[in-house]
Amino acid sequence: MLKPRALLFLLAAGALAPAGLQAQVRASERGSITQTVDGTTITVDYARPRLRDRRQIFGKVVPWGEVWTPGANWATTFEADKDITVNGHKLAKGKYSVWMQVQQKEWTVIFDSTWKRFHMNPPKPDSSQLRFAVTPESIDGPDVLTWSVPTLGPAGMTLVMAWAGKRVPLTIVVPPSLPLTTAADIASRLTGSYVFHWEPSDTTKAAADSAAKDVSTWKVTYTTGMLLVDWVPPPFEEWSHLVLIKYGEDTFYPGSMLKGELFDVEMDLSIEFAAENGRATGFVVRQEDDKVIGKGVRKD
Amino acid sequence: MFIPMHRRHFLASCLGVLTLGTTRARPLRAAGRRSLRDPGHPTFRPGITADKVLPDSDLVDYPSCKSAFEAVRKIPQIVDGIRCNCGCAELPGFYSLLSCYESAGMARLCPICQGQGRMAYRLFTSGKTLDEIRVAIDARYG
Repeated sequence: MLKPRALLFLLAAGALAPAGLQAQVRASERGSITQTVDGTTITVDYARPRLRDRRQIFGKVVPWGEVWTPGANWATTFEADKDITVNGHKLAKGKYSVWMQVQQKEWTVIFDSTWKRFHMNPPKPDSSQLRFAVTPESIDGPDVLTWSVPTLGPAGMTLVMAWAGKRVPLTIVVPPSLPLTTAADIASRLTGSYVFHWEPSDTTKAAADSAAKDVSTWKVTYTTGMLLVDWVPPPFEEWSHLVLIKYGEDTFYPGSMLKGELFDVEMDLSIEFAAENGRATGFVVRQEDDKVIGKGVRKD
Repeated sequence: MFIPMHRRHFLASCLGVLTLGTTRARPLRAAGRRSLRDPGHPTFRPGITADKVLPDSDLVDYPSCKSAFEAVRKIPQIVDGIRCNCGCAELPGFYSLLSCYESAGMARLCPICQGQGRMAYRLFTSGKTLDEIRVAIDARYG
């Protein structure tokens, strides 16, 4: 039997041991994935089981009909910091445990608000849960259970769980941080064509002459509730098509559109229209330091 | 005329190429656009003046910010009632946007400090009240 002094020594040594000595190899190592889209952050935290020469997981290791957490050990958790939709179903912001009831054809995805659950303690059906059906796709692999985000868009992402020949994609849509639409009565004041030129930052005649030659056209139209700009010729390809995103009275951020979808917002720039008799006469483009860097004058 | 330059480079260089001016790298924001503590706008201090605002002699190396300092000197009582949204509010000794134009003179380099100062003056001279200016500044920089 250890003497009290020796026992104290061992306890102290254990407490002071470097973290590396406490590391543990696990069959299902912990992993996580975090993705932000338009200010909404999604995090999936999970243990990652490996195939380990097991030939069939679904229908054997995970029997048909079982409510299984797509991970191992402690249930996979899913956290969203804003209200979202998953495959078109509303999910309030918060942290959930994730489960899938596996069947031969259609699976049921379950989000349960009790996020701390062991895998052997699946939740019973409850009206507070989000439950919906999915049809898993058949694929090769992967050997290690993987959650990933293979596609990202301006309004959401595809979150995928894949393992052992099955792939379950979940379509997540996040709330827009900025409204892309503008009221029709405001838009009617602003639509039309404008001659645009950059404002030189120095006052030399050469600079003024050069800027005067460098003109382009803004054609502002109102389509499906959005104020859109065709900029010809554009200073950059990405600015060929803009959406004007209203943030104040007749003031807008420019958003770059690609194939009809928003893909970037330049919040460092502000476009401010001036109106007379209910109709815009022109606009200025201000940079972050409030200096005017460009002007547009109505052409028609 | 199409200008073969990447958009990000264009923005990062303060639009210097297109505006035919000299370029100057922009400072990093201290802590994002809005203070983490988000204390709201300060109450302006009665009798506040622009006496501590840096003089032109301290701005020789920063000619592009001169107009912002000139604007702030004209309306210290308004600028003292506005919060700076660049992160300055986290610095010790900071009280209001006016502080950005005093002592350390962060407004010499920061486009947000400059932008808020110029915007405050522009709106004030167009007849807006302090509350209206605060709303407009929050919409733009908040």
